[in-house]
Order: sequence, then structure tokens, then C-alpha cells
Amino acid sequence: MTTRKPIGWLRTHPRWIRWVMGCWLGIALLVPFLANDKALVAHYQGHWYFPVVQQWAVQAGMGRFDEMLRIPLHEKPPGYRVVVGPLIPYRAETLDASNGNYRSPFGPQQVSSWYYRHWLGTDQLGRDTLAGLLYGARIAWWVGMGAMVLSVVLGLLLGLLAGYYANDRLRISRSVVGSTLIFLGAGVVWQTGWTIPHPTGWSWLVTLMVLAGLGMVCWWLLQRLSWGRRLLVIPLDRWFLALVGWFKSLPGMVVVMAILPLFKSTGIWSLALLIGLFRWPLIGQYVRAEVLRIRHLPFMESVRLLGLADRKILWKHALPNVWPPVVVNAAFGVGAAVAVESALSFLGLGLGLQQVTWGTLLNAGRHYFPAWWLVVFPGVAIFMVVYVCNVLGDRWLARYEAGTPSSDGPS
Amino acid sequence: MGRFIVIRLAGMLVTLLALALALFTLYQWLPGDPIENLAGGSRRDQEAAFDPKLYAQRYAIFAGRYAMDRPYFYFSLVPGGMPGAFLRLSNHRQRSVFKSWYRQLGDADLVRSWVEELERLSASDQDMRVVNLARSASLQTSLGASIRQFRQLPEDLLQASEIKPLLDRLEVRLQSRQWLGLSLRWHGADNQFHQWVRGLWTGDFGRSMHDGRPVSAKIKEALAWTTSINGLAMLLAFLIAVPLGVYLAAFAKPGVARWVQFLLYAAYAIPVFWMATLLVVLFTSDTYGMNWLPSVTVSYGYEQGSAFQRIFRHLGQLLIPVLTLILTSLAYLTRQMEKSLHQQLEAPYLATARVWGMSRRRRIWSYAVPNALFPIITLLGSLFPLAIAGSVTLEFICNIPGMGRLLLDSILTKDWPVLFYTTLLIGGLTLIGIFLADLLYALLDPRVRQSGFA
Repeated sequence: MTTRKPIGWLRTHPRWIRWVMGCWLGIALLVPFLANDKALVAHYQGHWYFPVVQQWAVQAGMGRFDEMLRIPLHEKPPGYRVVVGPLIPYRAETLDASNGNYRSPFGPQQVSSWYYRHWLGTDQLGRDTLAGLLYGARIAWWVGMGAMVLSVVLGLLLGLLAGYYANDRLRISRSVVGSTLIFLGAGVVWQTGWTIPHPTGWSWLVTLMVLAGLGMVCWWLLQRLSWGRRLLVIPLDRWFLALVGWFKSLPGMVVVMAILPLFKSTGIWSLALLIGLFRWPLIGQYVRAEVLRIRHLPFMESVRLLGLADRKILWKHALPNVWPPVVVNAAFGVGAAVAVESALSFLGLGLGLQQVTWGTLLNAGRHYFPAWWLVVFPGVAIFMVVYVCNVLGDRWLARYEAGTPSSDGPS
Repeated sequence: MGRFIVIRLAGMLVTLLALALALFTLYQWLPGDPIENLAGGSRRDQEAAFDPKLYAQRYAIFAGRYAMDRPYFYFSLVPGGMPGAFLRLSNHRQRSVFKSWYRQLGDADLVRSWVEELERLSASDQDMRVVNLARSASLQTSLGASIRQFRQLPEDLLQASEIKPLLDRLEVRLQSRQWLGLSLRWHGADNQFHQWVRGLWTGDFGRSMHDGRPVSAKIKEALAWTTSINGLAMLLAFLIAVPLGVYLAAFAKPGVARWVQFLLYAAYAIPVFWMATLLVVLFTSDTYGMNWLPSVTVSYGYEQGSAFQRIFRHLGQLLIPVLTLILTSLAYLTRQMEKSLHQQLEAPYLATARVWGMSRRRRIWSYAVPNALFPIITLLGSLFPLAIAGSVTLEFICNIPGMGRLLLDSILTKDWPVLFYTTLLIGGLTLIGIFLADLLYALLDPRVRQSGFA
């Protein structure tokens, strides 16, 4: 029996958490409009300009800025009227030369009006801390979400397959396995044995077709033999457990650190990829356990007896039942990914040098003790995100455990 | 039991070897060539007196010292007729370029004459365009692209360089496919991977590429620092967490418990490196009038005595890292202890004990707590990788020459031997930690002991 209470995920946590997550998402998406050294709408020499929107076109290589629009707002381009300005007139990288050398948020600042004030101070180069925090939030969001999505996809896929097929249910005829092996082996032999001509042209396609033809002929021959028609049992679950065990025995962050130099320039996505790659076993494990649990429940048995294809059973019937542990772990995972990302850029290994992130801000604060604002604000940001993710995960977990029949009940 | 241990140990060995293989493969892909730095190749462009011959000699010597002039693995699968010398070139980049040229041409003599021609042109006093092209072509994998670039040179330069006949021969050769066949070369133990892995049982890890000190000495010293910090912190955290967990689960008033739980929960979300940075910034200088903790900016190098003697001398320095580790792991351990004890308190056997008239104190301390400790013990094994990961940032902040610092430095200086053995050591210790935790769990819990490890 699986009478689990319907789970109203989003109603299980206090409102402020939704508020924090919403703010984070909003900042991640809208940060160019919130903090920018260009106006949103400007009037110059009788023309209207939308520099922030134009910035996207320029970054995409589809346009060019007028000379005047390149000058950051705080340097007051002459004859240039700002009609609508961003909330904070600085980008993370904007250098405010007159406010360099760590200006305190409360101390005197050389600004023309309160609009140009650095509300959270500046660093040594005169970069605005608040703008850095906002742009850092964007990086943290995408790294956290990217890593989470990757680990969920990998964990779900492998966990579902391992749990559903277990050690005995995936049977493939020897002819298929044999011809695939022959296909791969012949590919290696072919690729190594022939020289590579210079205009390579379509030779790879010809190669592929020849090899595929060879594979098919082999399959046809093998499936005519009684040896080839016999089924091989693939112990998918055992392989899965070995893989998970292997990943869990690795000190994830250390290995990520060791692999990072492999990337010529570490971008948001390569970082998310690496972090996600070391996170999926955790999710996969739970998914597998969940599938193993529901595998023998009556509804699963009956859809199988009805003759549904494995693909459909997995997608329509198994997947909806394994979401709870996935969602819980995904929430924890986002927090963990943000913590790892900021730790790496704190060490100067991650996105580090080119981009302002929470980690690099914190590291800057280490070099000049009186600049408490460089230590406190990014740290609070990281803490908030990790805390909110943990609360979210725990609430969902509690909700899920409350709805699950206990393990020693009838099942 | 014995069989279980043997199987697990064998599994650990396989895992370790797989990790070694993965790391070794990764290092072949990493950009940058540490031998080039050692041999002084990075100064190639600045120094007028740069002598390519001398550089090649120095390179070969350094490459030989780190076994880089051997084949990568126990065997290699190559196109038939490839000269064995191509697999033993000391320069990693040159090796892949030569192998690729052979795969395009299928003729070792032609490859050799192309190499000689390029060397002749690079060292000649021809037009700079020709010389530069020859230099860049000597590192370019695609022969077709190199030939095209040569063809685009002005006709008179091409004539003067006398390279045209060779270009024609190469071009003819490139236009057709030839079947070279396969050959499997067996190198035995004479390969790079074996040299690296051999260190695992001979204990000879070679020397650091950065400062030439023995890797084992560097690791030994770093390990002393990291284990003393983490061991101390873990012990203290454990000693605080268990009573605190018991107090929260069994004795605290609900209001107090909720507050303590909230604080611990919040502390759990504090990143280690932020906590340490805050402590350093706030409490180690007079900036904020709170110079209470010892400063961490003492340099440790070149002091006399064993690592432990030095650690003892700088015991004060360990205060901040240990404090940070305690605060962050305390939250986790206490929560787990509390949860575990809660589960025990609801168990029927305690209700039975109560009906028998056993005192509450006795029920909790003699029955519930020992049972609740089992899951905490297994946690110790899984805490190890976390501790190492945490110690990277911690040692960076507090300037402690431990494992994390060593790891970070070796990554930044591309010190492959140190990076390789440090990562392997951490992986191995993690495996042992998990194994010991399982073993301990089995020894303590009669149910697990009797079921013979499912």
C-alpha cells in the first residue's frame, strides 16, 4: 500500500524563505538593471538611448557603443542626461578611482550625490561592494542551479535504471552485446590501422557506415546461432553500487581542485559541471533505494503485467514516486554547491581572478583587516543561501517522512 | 568476518589503483609542462643567448629524472611500423605531435625528414617569416594545415628555403589512405604509470618538481600538522557534542532546547572559511580592540626539530583552526547525536525498562546512549573527507603548512608528484576511514556482527 499524503511542497516552509529565494532569483536574472555603470534610459544629443539593453547586443558582438556611452555614470559624461538610472550606478568591475583604498560604508566618500554613494563600501581598487555582491549572487545562482540540475539528471537516470533493472532484470541477447563489442573493437582497429588523409572530408561518415554495416552483419549471423540468442544478464545494480562507492570514497573538493587546472578558463558552467559530477551519487543512491522499495508494490507489478514498455513504466510510474528524496537532496545540493564555489574562488582557484564573486570579495577582506565590510557582507550572503537551502531541504524531508508509511508497516 | 575484511581490502586496493590511473590520465591532459619550467624553457623568448641544443639536453636530463622519457602505460596500441623512439620522446607535446604525424603519413622516414627540415629552417638565417613558420609547424599536429601555410609564403622565399620538394612529397602521401595495420607494444614495467604507482609500495615518492625536496618528507610534515589539528578538533567536538546531544534530547526544557537547536542549525550553515576569516580579522589584531587570539602570520619554514616539536612550539597558532573546526563540526555531530538518541528513546525496549521500574537516568545512560552512539561512530569515517576539504581553506587562511596547503600549492605550481601522491593519500585515508567505521560498527553491534555483513 502506498497511501502517501499528497505533498504540498511549497506550503511547508515559512514565507521568508520564499522571499529570500525569490530575491536571489530576481537578482540573478535582473542584475544588469539593478547595478550598472550605464543608464537604463539616457538622452544624448537629441537621441534616446537604452544603454543597458544595448549592452547585451554589444556583448553578443552585434553592436558597438558610442564613445560617450562607454564612460561610466559616476564620471559624469558631459552633455549626457540620465533619464532612468539603475538602482546602483556601478558594475562589479567598475573602478571608482576617487574612492579607492577601502572606503567604509559609514566613512566619508568623494561622491557627487547620495545616488553615487557606495552603500557597502569599496575595496582597494574602488570597486563597489554592493554591486560585487549582486553580481556574485548571479554567479552563485547559476553555479548552484547548474550543479543541482546536472546531479539530479545523472542521479535520477542512473538511480532509476539501477533500481528498476536491479541485478537480474536487464537481459540482452548475446548477439546484441557481441555485435556492439565487435563494432567498437573494429572502430578502434580501423581508426588506428589506417592513415588519416588530409582533407578528411566525409571519410568519417564512410567509416561509420562501414563499421555499422559490419556490426549489423555480425548481429544477423549471431542471432541465427542458438548461442547468440541466449540472454546475458547485466548486473546493472552491482555496477551502479560500485560506481557510487567509488565516488563516495573520493574527497570531492580535493579532486575538483585537482581537475580544475584542466580547464583553460574556468567558467560558470565548467565549475557547475565539476561540482554536479561529484554530487550525483548521493541523489542516485536515494533514487535507487526508492525504486527498489516500490518495485514490488502492486501497482508496479500490475503495469508490468499489462505489458507496458519499460521506458513507459520508468517514466510514468516510477519517476513520479521518487521525486521526494530527489527534491530534498537537490535543496541541500544547491547550498553545498554555492559553498564549494565560494571556497574555490576564495582560494583563487575557481572563477577567481577575472570575476568578482562572494569568495573573491571575502578574500580581499583578508588582506586589510579594517575593511570589515568585505568580510561580513559576502559571508552573510553565503551563509544566508546555505542556511535557506538547508532549511528548505529539512522542511521537505520532514514533510516527506511524515507522509511515508514507516518501514516496518505492511508494504 | 575474515573473508569480509579481505574482500573489502581488495576492493580498496582496486579503488586506489583506479584513482591513480584516473589522476595519471588527467595529468597527461593538463595544460603546461613543468619540465619546461625546470629546464628554463620559459625564458626562451627573453634570452638572446638561448641555446636550443643546450636546452634540449637540460630538458632530457630533467625529463629523465622524473621518468617522463618513458612510454605512458604498460602497453600501447599504435599503427604498424611506428618507430619505438616516438613513444619514448621526453617532451610530452613533441611525442603527441610526432605520433600524430606518423598517423597521417604512415612513413617513419618521411616524418624524420620533415622534422629535420623544420629544424634546419628554424636554426637557419632565412627570412623571419620562414623561420617562425618552421617553429610553429614543429608543434602543429595537422600536417595539411602546415603545408598550406608554407604554400602561402611568397614564391621567392619558398624557393630559397628549398622545402618545396618535401612539401610535394608530403602532399602526395597525405592524399591517400594506407593500411598500416596494428601493433601492440609491450613495455613491461618500463613506463611512467608504473614508476608513479611503484612509489606506493616502495615508499619512494620521488622529488618535488617545485623545490626538489623529497615528496615523502613534504607529505609527512604536512600530515603531522593536519592530523594534529583535525584530531584535536574532532576529539573536542566529540566530547562536547555527545553530552550536548544527550542533554538536548533527554534533559533540556523545550524552550531552551529550541534555542540551542536553532543556534546549532545556523552554525551548521556557516562556511568554514568565513568563520576562520572572521576570527582572524576580528580577534588577532588591535583593529577592533579585540586582540585576544594569537596572530597567525608566523612563518614556519626552516625551524629546527621534528614536525611535532614545531607544532608544539606553535600550539597557540592552532587555536583558531581548531576553534573553527569545533564550531562547525559541533553542529553536525550534536544534531546527529540528538536525532539518534530520540529514536532510541521511542524504542519499545526503553518502555519495557520503565515498566520494570528502572530509573530514568539509568535507562538513558546505560541503554539508550550506547545504542545511540553507533550511528555517530560511522559518521567519523564520513567526516574525514569533509575535514580535509575544510582544512584546505583553513590552512590557507591560517598559514599552516598542512595537507590542504600542500595540495593548493602543488596545484598552483603544477607540482605533479606532490599533487599525485597527496591526492592518493587523501583518497586512501578516506577509504580506510570508511572501512574502519564499518568495522567498528560491526564489532559494536551484535546484530550486524551475527548477520555476517549483508
